[in-house]
Amino acid sequence: MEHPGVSELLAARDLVKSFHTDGATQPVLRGVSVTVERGEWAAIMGPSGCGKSTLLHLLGGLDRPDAGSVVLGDVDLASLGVAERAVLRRQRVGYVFQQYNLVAHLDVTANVVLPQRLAGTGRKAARERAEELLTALGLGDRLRALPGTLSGGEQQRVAIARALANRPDLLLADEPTGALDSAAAATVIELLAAQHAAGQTVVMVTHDAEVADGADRTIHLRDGLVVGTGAADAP
Amino acid sequence: MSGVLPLAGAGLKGRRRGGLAATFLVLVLASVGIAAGLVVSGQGAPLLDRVAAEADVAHLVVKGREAAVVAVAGDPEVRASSGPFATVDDAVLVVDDEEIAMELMAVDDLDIAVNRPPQRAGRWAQRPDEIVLDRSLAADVGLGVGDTVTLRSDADATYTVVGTAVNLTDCFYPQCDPGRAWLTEAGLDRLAPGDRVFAQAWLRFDEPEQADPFVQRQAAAGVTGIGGTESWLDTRDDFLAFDRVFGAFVTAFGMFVLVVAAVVVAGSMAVRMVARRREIGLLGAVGCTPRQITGALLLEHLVVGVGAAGTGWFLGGFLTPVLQIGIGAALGPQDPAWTLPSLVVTLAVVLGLLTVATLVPARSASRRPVTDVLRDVPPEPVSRLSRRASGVPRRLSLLGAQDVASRPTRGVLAALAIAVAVVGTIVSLGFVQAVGEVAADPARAGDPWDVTVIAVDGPLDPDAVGAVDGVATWFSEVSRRSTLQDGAFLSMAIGGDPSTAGFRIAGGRAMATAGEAIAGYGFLHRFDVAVGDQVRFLAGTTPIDVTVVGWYRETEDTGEVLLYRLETLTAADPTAVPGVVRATAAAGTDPAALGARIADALGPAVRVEVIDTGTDDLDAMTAVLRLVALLLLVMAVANLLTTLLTSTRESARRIGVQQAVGFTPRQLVGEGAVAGAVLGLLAVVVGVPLGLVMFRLLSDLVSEAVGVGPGWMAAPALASVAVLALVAVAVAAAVGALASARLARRPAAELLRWE
Repeated sequence: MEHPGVSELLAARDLVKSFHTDGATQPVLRGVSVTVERGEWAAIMGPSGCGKSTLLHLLGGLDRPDAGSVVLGDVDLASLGVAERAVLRRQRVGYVFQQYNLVAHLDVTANVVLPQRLAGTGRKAARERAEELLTALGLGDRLRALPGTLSGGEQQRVAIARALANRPDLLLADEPTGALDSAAAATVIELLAAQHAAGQTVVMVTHDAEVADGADRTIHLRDGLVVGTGAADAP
Repeated sequence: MSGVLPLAGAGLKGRRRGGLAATFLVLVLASVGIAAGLVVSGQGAPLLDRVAAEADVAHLVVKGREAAVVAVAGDPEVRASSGPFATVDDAVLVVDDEEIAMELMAVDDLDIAVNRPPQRAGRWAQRPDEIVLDRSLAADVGLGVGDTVTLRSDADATYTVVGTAVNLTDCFYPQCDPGRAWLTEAGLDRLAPGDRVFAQAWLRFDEPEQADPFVQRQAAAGVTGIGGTESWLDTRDDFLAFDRVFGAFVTAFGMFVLVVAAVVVAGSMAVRMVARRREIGLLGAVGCTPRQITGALLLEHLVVGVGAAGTGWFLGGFLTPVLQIGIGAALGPQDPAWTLPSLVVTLAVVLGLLTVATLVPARSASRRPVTDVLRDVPPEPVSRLSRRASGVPRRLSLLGAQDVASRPTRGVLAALAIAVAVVGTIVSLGFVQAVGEVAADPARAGDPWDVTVIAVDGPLDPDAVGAVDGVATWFSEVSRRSTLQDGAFLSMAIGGDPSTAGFRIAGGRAMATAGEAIAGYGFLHRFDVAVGDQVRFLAGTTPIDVTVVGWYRETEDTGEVLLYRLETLTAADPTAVPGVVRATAAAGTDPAALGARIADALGPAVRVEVIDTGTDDLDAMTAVLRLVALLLLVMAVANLLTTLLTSTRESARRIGVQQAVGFTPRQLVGEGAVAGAVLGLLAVVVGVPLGLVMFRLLSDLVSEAVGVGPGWMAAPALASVAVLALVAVAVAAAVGALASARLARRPAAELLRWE
């Protein structure tokens, strides 16, 4: 993994996305372009409904834009089929969701092992990596716990461990502190900052300016358009 | 109860129309099964008794010389009578080169007091060239009003069929032969000119039970010239024998339908409750009490249940004519039937099951902490099974199996529905196989012969039959209505070498010497006789003493038959002469060809009948068995699909997460297939052994009911069971894959937003 500012990792051009419900079309993104450098921590900010999460989904290949392109490294996501995008995600992208989205019937370790096994890592190695990550994130005593028995902050730490398990090029975090109390939120932000300090490229969606403070750059969205970029405290 | 109605209404109008429609469909299917089974299972006896009442049925049919028949009919004990009617019993009906033995009765006028044949089509015969056929015969050979038929007796004559009617002097053709038809006196003259010595009369007493003692008293009084009698109670029993077997089948399958319905309804409601957990939590969050929520859900489901049960009952009514075989079919085309009791029972069963299946999960869901529900925290305690299966499996496709294990109640209910269908199908397979085996090997039903030779003119020489080229074994038979402990039964004195006759001995041994007898299971059961007992009975009026040395498989007269050596009878009644010889064909000899050879050798003094080994008569029953098994399977598959589709919200979130971490659609579909296959496998593991046990229990119940004794039907072939098991697993896997495929094709972002 390279350090910040060396090269462009992610480039999204003129992204357009609408949702169709009950016969009505709701435009969400109306021509958004963003780039993210390797090792950069970018925060996407904006009010509710401005298209932040939708943009994150498009950047990670969870959804396809109606128009525009997303290039991750040297791969144009538009050229990939559903299965190829799934393979790309498992190898190069890690996700952290606001609602954690852990697999409820798998224990903490298994949730972190799962993406590694999917990427072809051996059982033993995957388990060792999972335990190492979870211990580093302060969950060494909850390895066999089921997600439903953890607090929100603990679940989010498991989600971060899962996202980092395959050493992804890009870590996408969608309101990672949105469901947490302030203490847990601070812990999560510290963890992300530590990963960023270690060279991890992070794109984070948040509507909390305090959370965005730690980022290298903020991208402001409003009504489906980028209305400004700059330092974390920029408007 | 305030607030319950609006909540229930909102639930019915809500967004989960797909789940509601699936639940409705499953309930309709269950109701169809229950309603149709109820209507059909009780069809036989009431239908028959209604027709018997319409006809003022004869309690006793007396056949013989006209003078003797007239004398018997004039007995003061007889309350009413019809006849004598001239009768010809050696005629044949020629249909497509096939000869069918016929009994023809001359009835000029239907204005008679007893046993008026209920007309079903056309009109009564008025001219010498007109004939009315028994409806069961007409239906079997495909004849109808307007057709022309040729009859052969002393002469050949052609008649036009002008009507059909129901003959109640014997059970229906072809179960009982010969076929029956009515003509005018002049019409009979064309066929058998001047032959007017043989006649029959139809007698009615105050009670039908008087018939058998009346016959005994006539015999004891030395009345001569009576060739045969048929009491209505015996005939009715014969009528109902087939219906009883069918009724036993239908009742057995009705039980399966009920069990499947219970499992399906419980499963469907449990899944629906789980799927709506979040909605229930939200209702709690806005201030609804647990009682209001439970009441609303119950009301909502009862409305769905009433609609589904009513629809199922209505649709099931259309199925009843298809399911009405045996007596129902023989008495004429039946209309779709919708009975009030079947509606009430269907509603009661469905609504009762719905209430239980709704209250239990609804109470539990409505009492869970709102915050837990909104956070999707799994209910505590987590099952031990799911706790053990909380690691990543060696093969990732087994994650689907883990998903099933994580919700064991739902998994068990879905598997149980398939298991019950597997059980029902195994029982159905076994019965269909048994029906085929009995048809192919009549010895299993007590008919160990290929050709029957009946004396029609003068005595019959059994040795002459045995001497015909191609005859492997033969035995002669003297049948007499007999009495034991004031009960009537059929006894047969067997001449020739009974040890080669091929009767299937099921217990004890074959009779070897004079004074020995073997009995049908129904005889032992009815008269409380055991192998080794000595029995004294009256063969007609001749006292006979025998020792029962074994029992054999017999379906005639529901197994109430006693076979003994002819020597035993002739020792007591030297005038007894066999009127029937049964012969088996040597290996490689076609029974039909042997029949023709015997007819050539013995000439017109005998009538030859070749046993029918076809399964045509049983096609309707096997078709119904297959239909019921298919209904069970459809219900099970619909239930499985409902279970998997209704839990879409949970599955959607899980599949979305898995997509996010890199699962491909193919992997997700494979996972769904594995989950389905696991359910199918569970169903097979439980269903196959249970099915074999149930088959044994039910088949013994049925074979005891028809008097043939337990152990009559062999278990379904291993290959059939293996194929069924594979099909069950494959279908379950396909359904699982189908349910997953629906979600796996959607963008992960959409699934993660799913509410």
